[in-house]
Amino acid sequence: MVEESKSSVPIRFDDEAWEALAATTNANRCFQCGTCTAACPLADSTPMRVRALIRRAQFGETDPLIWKCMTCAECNASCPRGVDIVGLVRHLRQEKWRTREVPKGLPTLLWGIYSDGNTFHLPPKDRAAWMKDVKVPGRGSTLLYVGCTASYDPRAQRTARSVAKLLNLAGVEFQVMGTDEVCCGEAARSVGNVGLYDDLQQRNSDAFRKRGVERVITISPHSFDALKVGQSKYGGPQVVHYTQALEELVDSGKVVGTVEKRTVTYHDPCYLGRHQGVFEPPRRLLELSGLTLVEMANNRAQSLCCGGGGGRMWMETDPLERPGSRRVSEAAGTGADLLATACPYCISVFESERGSEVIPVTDVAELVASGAKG
Amino acid sequence: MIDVREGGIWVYAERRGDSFLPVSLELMGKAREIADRLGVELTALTVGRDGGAGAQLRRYGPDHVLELAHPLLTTYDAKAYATAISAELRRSKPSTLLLGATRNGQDLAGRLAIRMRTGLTAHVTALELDDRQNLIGWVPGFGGGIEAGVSCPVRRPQMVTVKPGVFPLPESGTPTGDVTKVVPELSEKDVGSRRISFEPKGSTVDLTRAGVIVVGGRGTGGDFTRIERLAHLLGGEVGATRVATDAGWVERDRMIGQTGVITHPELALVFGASGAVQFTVGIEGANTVIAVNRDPAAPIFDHADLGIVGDLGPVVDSLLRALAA
Ligand SMILES: Cc1cc2nc3c(=O)[nH]c(=O)nc-3n(C[C@H](O)[C@H](O)[C@H](O)COP(=O)(O)OP(=O)(O)OC[C@H]3O[C@@H](n4cnc5c(N)ncnc54)[C@H](O)[C@@H]3O)c2cc1C
Ligand code: SF4
Ligand code: SF4
Repeated sequence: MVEESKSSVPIRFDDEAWEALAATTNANRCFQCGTCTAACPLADSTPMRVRALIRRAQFGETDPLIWKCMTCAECNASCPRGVDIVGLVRHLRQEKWRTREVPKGLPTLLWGIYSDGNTFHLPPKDRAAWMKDVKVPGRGSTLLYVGCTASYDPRAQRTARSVAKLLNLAGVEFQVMGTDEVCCGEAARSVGNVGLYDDLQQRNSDAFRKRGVERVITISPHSFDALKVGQSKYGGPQVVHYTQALEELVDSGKVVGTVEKRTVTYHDPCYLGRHQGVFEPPRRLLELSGLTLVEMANNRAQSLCCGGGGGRMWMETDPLERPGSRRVSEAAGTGADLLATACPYCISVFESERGSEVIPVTDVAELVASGAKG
Repeated sequence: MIDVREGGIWVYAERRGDSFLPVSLELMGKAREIADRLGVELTALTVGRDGGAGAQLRRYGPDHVLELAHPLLTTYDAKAYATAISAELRRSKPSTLLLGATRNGQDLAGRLAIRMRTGLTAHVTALELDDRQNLIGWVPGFGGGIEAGVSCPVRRPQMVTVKPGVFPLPESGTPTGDVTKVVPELSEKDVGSRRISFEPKGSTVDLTRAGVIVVGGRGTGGDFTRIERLAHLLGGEVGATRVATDAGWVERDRMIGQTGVITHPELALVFGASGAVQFTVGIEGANTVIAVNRDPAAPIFDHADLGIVGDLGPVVDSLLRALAA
């Protein structure tokens, strides 16, 4: 399977491939300083060396370690030359689909998205099951885009219900797409299948237009990033993450409430923080709810990835290589009562890393909803 | 333009030991349907050390079974198999050759297509006939989320590899057709590789085929001896959640779920698993699910046909007692 290749093949430049890569990622600006290698959280636990990966790409070779990348963008943030390393990884993965050299499990993921419109290969008719007792006004130009994970994963469904409950309390008119909703395509893009991602963006754009949607609120930061980037091409609606939407509502006094006095530490999901620059709204929501925030040493732009991005939710990771367990320890080390975050992948990862045994893991919306009144 | 009726339809029936892969039988069912529609004959082709096994194929409705038997064909070798089969294709000139898109099937199909200077549609998920009765193989492509219909109107045989599980497995019926054994002309130089020994790698559990799976999760607290005993008494296999495999309670190839194995048992008994979606996608295909969990709100109960709320220990014990009695 995916192993580090110790290649003894003679070096051959593939100018065309390199130029295609450089055109979208600035890879040609790389001066091999190695800052990215040092920034990459995989450097301690795996043979992943980002600088070497870029060098190899220049020789027309693809390092099989690209599949370990979590697209956390720590490297992007540190590169002095402005190389889009995440873009480079996605591009190299895309090439691997042509030759079908992809890790086990990923074709099944894409089949699920392609045939059922979701990342789990579950029936589209069950997509609205998250709602349970939640009522939705079903009017207005605001759409709550739930996404695959919060639609099907019982843990993340709770987050979606909390967000819907808060929107209702604040009297926001909004609609959901229910069983008509399809995947945002982020998982397809991460694993390098840009064609499928583009298709889904088109489908979502058509659906948004048909429903008169002017504002999209997402549950997952992954949908937030994918739709924000993808829909801009269509001049589509404004896309926000739920933490931004809720911050406005709490700020304007439309929702108030305080939760039991406790201390909380907040984990910045990569796609909300580093990718989209949303650092403060979740923190303000926690504080406005009366919680005391204790920061981890690695916070905001320095947040440590949980390990769930870049399609890693569909690839097994050796327990010794999992960044999530490190992050759980860091959170527990703050002495906070709770670990809050705002991404369904992060929650799955932390809970499966026995997070709940060391520090209870929760979602920002769930915390706010637990004490909120309209 | 060539008429498909100019020759019969052949199915390459891939052997595993003395039986045949399910995909080959699935193809027999579909090929019979197409042959009847076109009014041509169906031949099942099988290759191996000696004949005999081919007689089983008579239960799947062929007009003929052709066995290519030779000691040099004992194990699959692309070069030797392609040499033997292409000689037969040249002699009998079938219009169509269908193969399963298995590892060996794909390998063989490519070589045969080159030798026959014909087209090959690979990894097909649906088959139909166009108005000139050429086969159209539908191939999904992810490049743009499209599905392409591919046909080969100018060369014969038209060749297709079909993904396993696409067509239903036909019922075995009364034997039909004749069996012919042919000893192809082959010499050592036609063989690309030689098998020295055959040792299956590591453990041989294959949960994808298990009829009964007894799953343990974190709730077992690591005690898998009774879970194993229960699986044994039910003639099934032990499965586990990722928490249980991470803890080293069970080997990793027994992990069920999104990054583990996707299973389709008749019965899954699930003890002490909460029902995280990354786990439940792996038992979605089970016919019956029985779950035991002490938390009545555990999402696993949404996936269970029968749920028992309570401590799993006494439940396992009473099942063991009942089965041992
Ligand atoms: C990238 C990624 C991939 C993953 N892939 C998989 C995968 O392929 N397969 C998989 O299984 N998981 C996978 N997971 C992990 C998954 O998210 C869950 O964490 C895991 O399935 C939970 O395992 P569990 O149900 O055993 O443990 P828990 O969720 O802790 O549940 C234990 C359950 O046991 C019950 N219980 C405890 N004691 C008893 C008792 N005495 N009697 C009865 N009930 C009891 C509890 O009520 C609880 O519901 C993955 C996670 C990630 C992040
Ligand atoms: S995106 Fe993250 S995991 Fe991937 S190479 Fe950059 S730092 Fe490493
Ligand atoms: S940090 Fe930037 S310039 Fe330095 S090696 Fe990495 S990609 Fe190249």
